[in-house]
Amino acid sequence: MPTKILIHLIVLMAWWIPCPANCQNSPLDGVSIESLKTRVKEVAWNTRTIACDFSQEKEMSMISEKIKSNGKFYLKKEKMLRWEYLQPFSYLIVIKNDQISIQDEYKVTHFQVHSNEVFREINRIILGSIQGTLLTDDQNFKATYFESPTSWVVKLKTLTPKLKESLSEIVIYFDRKDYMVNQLDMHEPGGDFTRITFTSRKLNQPIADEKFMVR
Amino acid sequence: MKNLWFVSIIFVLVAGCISIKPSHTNRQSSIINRQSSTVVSYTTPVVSHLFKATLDIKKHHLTGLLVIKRMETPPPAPAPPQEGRGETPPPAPPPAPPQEGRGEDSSGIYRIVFMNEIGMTFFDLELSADSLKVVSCFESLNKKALMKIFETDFRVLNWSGLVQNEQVYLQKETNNMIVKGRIGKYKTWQTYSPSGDTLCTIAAKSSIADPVIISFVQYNDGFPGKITIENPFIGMKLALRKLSK
Repeated sequence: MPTKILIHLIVLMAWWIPCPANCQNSPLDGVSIESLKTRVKEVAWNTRTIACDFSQEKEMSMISEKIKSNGKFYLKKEKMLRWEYLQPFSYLIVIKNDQISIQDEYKVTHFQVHSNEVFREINRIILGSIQGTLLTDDQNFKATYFESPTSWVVKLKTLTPKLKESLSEIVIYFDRKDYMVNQLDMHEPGGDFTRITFTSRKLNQPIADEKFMVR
Repeated sequence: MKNLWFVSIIFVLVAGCISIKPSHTNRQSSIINRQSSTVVSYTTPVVSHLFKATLDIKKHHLTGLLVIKRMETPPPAPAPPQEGRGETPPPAPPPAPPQEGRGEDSSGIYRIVFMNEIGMTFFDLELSADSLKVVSCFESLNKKALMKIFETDFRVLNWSGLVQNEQVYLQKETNNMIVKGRIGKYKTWQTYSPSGDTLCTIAAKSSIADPVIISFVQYNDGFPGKITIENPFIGMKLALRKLSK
């Protein structure tokens, strides 16, 4: 009798346990995958500028609370990106063509993208996610495609051993309506992950070139 | 072989020249009354501390965030059941709270994670009473000698408890109070403000290769806003600025 009650209780409790976002994802078929790739490519092609806010959360198994930061993101074709952290610290990354400028509080440094391995990868992942080029990067990632009620979800498993040391998987969430990236999850081999969420997006509004200069 | 001797002599000469001992000090004949409970100093985290961090090693410059967390002390391994009795072992005692003062914390386990601003982890270390475990680390940083230095740095930073064989000195120019002594295998010199109520620096070393000087400034609500960890032997500097989460 007590065992039966226990089983009923467990079933009842399971019913009430909220389902994580991933369990609502269902895999896409081949036609839908091709359609998604085409739409992402088209949207990226037609986007000249993006200005938006971002919030970043790093979830670590060792601490219960998340490490949160937020800031502003600007992208201008062809290769101009401004990634600015405003809270809880001030940190600015500007990529213009192949030059990276960093302003860490008051200190400014400039270097070439290819001279710094970490920034080369960051540049490739952030820009590649937004422009959709990571979806066709078969050399470095194995892509699987899903859909949720609000997003198209692309999971990119890292293939290259070097990159695998720091990132095991990247998950990109494309908005179902406009095919723009609204969330990016970067998973580390140990299970920790960083989630970047893009909000208040403005497309194809003029952004002055000065926004991509650091002095 | 000749070259090896030459390198060894140079190494000893260079290492011998690095002094972390505060200069111009006068020994005090009696121990100055210093209530350790009223001293303002970096306190080991009960939950976690978050810092904006800058790490300079020679020409390499890394920036990011550093998290230090004192983990729950794991309970001692349960004793094997004794034959014929079938008694359950008593429950493990709760973890001891960190002690006050600046001595060795023999029960604490700390996790130290340094990541870049985007969130990618540079290193994730677990420091226990007798070892440093590398949970994960960028290949270019994962060198045994560097990890030894980090072990000293974070062990000294998280000291709590009292110094043994304490001797008190006064620094002539500043009137700062210097407490010299030993903590475990480390020799230490701890500099306090003239009134003895604020910890300014800790210098420590266990060998010629691991001297460290840790400075604490910009105290706010009893916690230093800035901490600088310097390893003169390898020319490494880790600057930390406390962030509110």
